Amino acid sequence: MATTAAERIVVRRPFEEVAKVATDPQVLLPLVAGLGRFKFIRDNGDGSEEWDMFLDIGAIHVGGRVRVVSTPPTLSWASVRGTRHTMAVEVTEHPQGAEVSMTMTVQLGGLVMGRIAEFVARGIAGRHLVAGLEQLRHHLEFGDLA
Amino acid sequence: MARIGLPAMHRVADGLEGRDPEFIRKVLPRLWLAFELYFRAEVEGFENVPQDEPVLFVGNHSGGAGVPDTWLFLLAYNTYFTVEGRPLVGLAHRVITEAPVIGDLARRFGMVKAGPDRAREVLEQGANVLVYPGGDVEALRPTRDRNRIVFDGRKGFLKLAHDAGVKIVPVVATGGQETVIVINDGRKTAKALRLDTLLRIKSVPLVLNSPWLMLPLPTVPLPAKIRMQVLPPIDLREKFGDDPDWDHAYDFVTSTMQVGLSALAARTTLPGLG
Repeated sequence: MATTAAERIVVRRPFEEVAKVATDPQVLLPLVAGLGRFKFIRDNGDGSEEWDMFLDIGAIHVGGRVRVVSTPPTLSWASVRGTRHTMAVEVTEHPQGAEVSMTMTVQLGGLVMGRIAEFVARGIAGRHLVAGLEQLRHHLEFGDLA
Repeated sequence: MARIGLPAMHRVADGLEGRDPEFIRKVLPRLWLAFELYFRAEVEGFENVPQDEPVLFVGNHSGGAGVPDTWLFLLAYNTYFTVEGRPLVGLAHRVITEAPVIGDLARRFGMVKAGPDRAREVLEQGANVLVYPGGDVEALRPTRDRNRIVFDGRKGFLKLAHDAGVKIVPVVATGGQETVIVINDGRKTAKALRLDTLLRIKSVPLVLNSPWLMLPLPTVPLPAKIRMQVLPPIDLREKFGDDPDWDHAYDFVTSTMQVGLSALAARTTLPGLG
């Protein structure tokens, strides 16, 4: 079993500009993980990068090492250790500029308690996605970090 | 159409003259108990507030008629800067300031009826001013929008800060809108009943009250955890010059606050519980 959180936001900037920034791991990961901790590990030389990324949520740290692949206008990553999860970022055209969507799927261990934990995790992941998307939008529209 | 004039039944003077530090000192422990034990409140970021000049605090309003965020800010401000420090004057809806008993209570805490002239006067007197541009519209926004900034396009606060030459200090809070359950914003109802023109009431929402369900009786707020964050100041003159594009300035300030609010909301594990 797994649970998925999905959020999207409209950015009032040209599609090409948004796609370039939103799929650049060096820009996006610090924005998404800005509420927790993140660290660039290595460039794998095959078009992918490895990062350590954690969201600090109360008593636990959700995340681990992820392998990131950027193919504009999309970016995706999958965990290679730590919390089992995947992330997909996609930029599409929108009448006001561009729309950025983020989808995170988290898989936690256990049966009943695991399902309950996934239910809670979905809300937490969703709120973190919103926070990351708002940071990204503000960064693109106003050129600074709030 | 002329607005309905509420009878002036207050005995306490309006503004800094009516602010009563001894009264505030007596009330603070009660507020502290309520917010510490019932709402498990957390307030951070007062180190961002310039100490040597008055500022305009701009907050997102939540919690329906109870507006717990206002009381929490008054509590935190008056304990951080002390009751004897730079006074804080809150701009309140006339329904509050002109109500008997409650109006006097609000005035003793240093609240005045919201309006640009009065706000500018107290800023010139050296007080910090607290304003909630979204007012009743934001405090009564649907629960599904609890983590959204809803200023309804109101830009008066920007002009006030710019004209008075003071910085804006944004204040964002989560949890307040989880103390009530608002099903819809009721803006169409307010317009249909002409309350927007008669009493400047823009929202008559459908609210699920505790413990009266939907009856319009005094309610008990739900014990949601409230988090508040004071953000770094914004100098409108420095950022937008002497003749700002107000739409751009509005977008920037509300965007900055939305980023802060969403980041604060991300600290929530479960809505209500915190």
